[in-house]
Amino acid sequence: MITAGIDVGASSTKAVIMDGNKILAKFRQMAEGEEEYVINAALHGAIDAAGIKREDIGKIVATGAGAKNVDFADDIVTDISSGARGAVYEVPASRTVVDVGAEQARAVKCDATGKLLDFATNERCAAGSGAFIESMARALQTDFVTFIDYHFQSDKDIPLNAQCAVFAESEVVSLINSTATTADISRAINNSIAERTSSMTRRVGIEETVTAIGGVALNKGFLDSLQRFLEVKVTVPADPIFTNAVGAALIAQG
Amino acid sequence: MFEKFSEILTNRHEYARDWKKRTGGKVVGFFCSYAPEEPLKAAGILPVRIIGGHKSSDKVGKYIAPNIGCSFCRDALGRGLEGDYDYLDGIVQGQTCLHTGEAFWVWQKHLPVKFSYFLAVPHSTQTIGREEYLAVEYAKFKTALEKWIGKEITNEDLDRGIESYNTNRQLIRQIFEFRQQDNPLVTGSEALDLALSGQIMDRDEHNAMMKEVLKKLPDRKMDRDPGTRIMIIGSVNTDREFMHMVEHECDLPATIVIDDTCTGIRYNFNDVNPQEDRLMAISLRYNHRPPCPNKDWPRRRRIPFIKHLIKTYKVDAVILFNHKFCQPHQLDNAVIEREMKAMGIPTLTLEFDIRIPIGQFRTRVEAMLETTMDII
Amino acid sequence: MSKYKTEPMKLWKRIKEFKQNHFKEYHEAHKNGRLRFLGATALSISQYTGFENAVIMGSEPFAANIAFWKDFGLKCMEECERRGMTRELCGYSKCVWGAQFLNKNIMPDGTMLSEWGKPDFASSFSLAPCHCKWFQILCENSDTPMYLFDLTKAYPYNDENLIKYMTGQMLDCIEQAEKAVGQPFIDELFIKGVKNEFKSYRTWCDIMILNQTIPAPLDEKTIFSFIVPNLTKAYGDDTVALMQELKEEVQDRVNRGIAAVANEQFRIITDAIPPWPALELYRYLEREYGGVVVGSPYVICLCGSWKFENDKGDLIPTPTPVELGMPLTTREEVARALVWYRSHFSTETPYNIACGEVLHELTLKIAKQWHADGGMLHQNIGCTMQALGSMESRNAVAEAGIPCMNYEGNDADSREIDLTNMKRKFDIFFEANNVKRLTKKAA
Repeated sequence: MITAGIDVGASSTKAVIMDGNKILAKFRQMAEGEEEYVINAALHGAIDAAGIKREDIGKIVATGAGAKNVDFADDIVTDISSGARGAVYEVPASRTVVDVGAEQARAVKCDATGKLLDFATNERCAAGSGAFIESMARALQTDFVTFIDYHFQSDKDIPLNAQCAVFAESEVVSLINSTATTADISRAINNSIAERTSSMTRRVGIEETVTAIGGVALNKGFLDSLQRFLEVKVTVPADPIFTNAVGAALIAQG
Repeated sequence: MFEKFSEILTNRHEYARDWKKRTGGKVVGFFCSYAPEEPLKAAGILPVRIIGGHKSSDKVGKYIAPNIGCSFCRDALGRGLEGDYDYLDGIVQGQTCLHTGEAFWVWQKHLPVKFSYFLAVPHSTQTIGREEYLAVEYAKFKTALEKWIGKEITNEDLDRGIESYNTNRQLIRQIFEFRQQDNPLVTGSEALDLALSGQIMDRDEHNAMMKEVLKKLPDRKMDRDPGTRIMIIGSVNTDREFMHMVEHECDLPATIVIDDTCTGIRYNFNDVNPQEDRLMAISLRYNHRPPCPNKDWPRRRRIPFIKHLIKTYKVDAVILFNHKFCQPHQLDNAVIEREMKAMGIPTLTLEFDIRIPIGQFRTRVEAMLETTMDII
Repeated sequence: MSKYKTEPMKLWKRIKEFKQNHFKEYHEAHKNGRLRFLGATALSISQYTGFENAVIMGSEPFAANIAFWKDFGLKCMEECERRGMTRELCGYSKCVWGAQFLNKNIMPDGTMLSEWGKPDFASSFSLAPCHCKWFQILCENSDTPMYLFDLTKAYPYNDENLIKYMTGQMLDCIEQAEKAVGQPFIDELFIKGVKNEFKSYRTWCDIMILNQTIPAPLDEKTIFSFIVPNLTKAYGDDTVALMQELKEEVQDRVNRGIAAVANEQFRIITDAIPPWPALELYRYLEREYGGVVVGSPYVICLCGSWKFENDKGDLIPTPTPVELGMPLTTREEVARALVWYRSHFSTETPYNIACGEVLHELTLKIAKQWHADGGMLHQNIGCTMQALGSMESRNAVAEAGIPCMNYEGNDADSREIDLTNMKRKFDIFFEANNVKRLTKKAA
């Protein structure tokens, strides 16, 4: 059966088409404009890329923060389930899945089939993981790629307040005005999000293999920090932004 | 003059490890300053106060949620979970606030030590029967200690413990008195390191160091403008970076001349008055010491105490030092602020987390100094 | 077709009326020549039964009622914040201080009152230290005579030093109250009131045990309405009778297999005071997932007294002093017996302050004995005492193989409640535990 998984996130919507266990196409639509348009554009982008017709799709499962807005979905699942299922598909040894997106962070413990055993999500006051990194990169007047490069130019661990994004932000401003270099600050920002993520992951327990998914997993600086906090190696699938959508398409397969 | 105290405080874990090696004795960590140290000293044990390292730890969040637990306790527990306190043979909690209590329970469960004891100190130190109650709790504590160390703690042992601590508190007060002078001979940073190092050191060694200081202190020449005389009011202050910033890094001069904190005068204000029943004597000391807000009800004994210090130490301005999520102090602060306003004393409330945004704090302290110096 | 039969509780309306009438009695006390006593439930109200004209109000139901009416509750919060009280302080305290500052209050049926309800005498006890700070500020601001009790560590129970200390305070409180209100304390009334309280409390334990049945005859949201009589008037003859009737009705439901929720498919325990401004979350769990909250340390212990059988065994009702044949003929004996009974797991003693070392074990026992499939523990930011032990309770329950999560909320401050995210977290939890959604799509 051909299925589709749609992951409606805060910064973009991702669609994946699968035939059985095989991925036919992936498409990402940035969240610009009406949500309904973004969702449809994502699905049709994937349909076009797969070279199939809309009617060919047997089942559609939606996931992500805006899943309930996918009117045409046959079913919805939470991004915890889709993330675990997708991560185990892409990295079969995954037992702990860390998902850091623009607005939320989650840690999941799962078994070999991707079934959830335990999970933790961030507290309200620690929200804004990916978005925080982005806005801090802007405050440093760098783009994302340079921001990551900077991370690796520093070996200093300047601690940031690990509690609250708002407080951390004011600290970053203080640091910019101090003698700390842009490289040190980049590393401090990644450390701060990684520490919060690690703290959350420790609540469910760390079992290897630990797989990181979501947009923030593309930030190699963050991964470097996260591995230091978790004290284990963290694996990232080839396309971590799409893992949730892949999981949703797999769940649609049944 | 106070460098040695600062040095030991900085290297407190090395000090404790070294003490163990030198003496072969046991080290017990305690959370709140209501833990009775005299009986521990009497048992030949080194009590050390468990304090944070102003470093966050990702190991704490599993046990204490970051959106409710006080920053000081999370920091202290974090240091435990990170292994900094692996030399502790035991832990003791003298009951006060919920936060220190929870830190104790988590520590007891997840960082097993040979001896752990939660001592039920009255919540209010004004209730009827609290002195007798606490003396009985001390007796139970003493029995538990004796069982652990395998020998009796005699009256002579208790006298030695009491004497060492009384001397310590007296010496600290004597040194603090030099802060009453128009140009204080001891800065707030030095005073904090002095008092705090006492809480992690063998008191006899600490006493010897203080006696040396007292020989030279009257002749000390201060080459700094004392500026605005500040008092710190809060719970447990271990933020040396902050103290240094206020006294040395602001554009306007300032000196922290006194505090109402349990790492300062509140802890060292009164002594154990000897009586035949040693445990009752110790109970009276802890019941009658200037209270922390948790224990200050139904009457308010803190306010007159604070006013007394303001007068004695000629305080110009007050900083209300509040740990994030420390509700007991938040509860008192609104009242203290009102009282200070009535006395014409400016106050500045600062919320401390495990780490502080030092630049922001500096701006706010300087803004206060501008008002006390009539610059604006 | 529903899985189980269900029907409404017959006593529902009467218990609601009981609450309304009790609040009315309190607020109209002065008009009727009676005295108002306001005190923290549990250890600090029963002694006032010795005053013939007393109307006694428990400060927690008093506060919870304000929190439940969230628009008024919010005004109270904001009024406190205007006066320098921080947002992080105890939710209940801010409800009552706010009412005091505004000099307004609200009845359980939502009728606004033009006076907050200043008591003639007030008391609290150090369940959490801020419980006494709550009353310190309340009484200072209203010039009300007060007596604040110290309850120190209550576990292990049966501690002679604690019982002696607290009994001494209770006897002292009686004398102070006598002086303050200028009326004699009548020992016979006190003895009768306390004996009644033992009965009401013991019956509550039986009712809670009945809820171990599958399907559960009661759900926690309904239980919240049933706690009020015991919380604020356990000493009354009418309460003793009402609890007995309640027990009989619940027993009858058990006998006939009547469920609180017709589609019960996942039994849940929680732990703390619920987010009063958002009780609809309970209906969400039931409607969407057949998730039934069957109990918590909060409702089970709040109006009963419990202990571990043989040290660390199952949770069982504490035998009452009457059942144990303790002498109960003098004021001293009764005060002592009351302290003894209440210093087990009773009211909120299991939480951090008094029994922090065993809260997680107690929570796990409840999960097991009430046959919970999972735990959803409220990280109640409005109550430090409850929130602090909640993580360790979760760890203990989850490590014992019963899936368990924390959710962040607030018992009183509606601004701190994020219902959308709460529901999202519940969805994840059910999905993780393969609980089928009963409705087709998310609400």
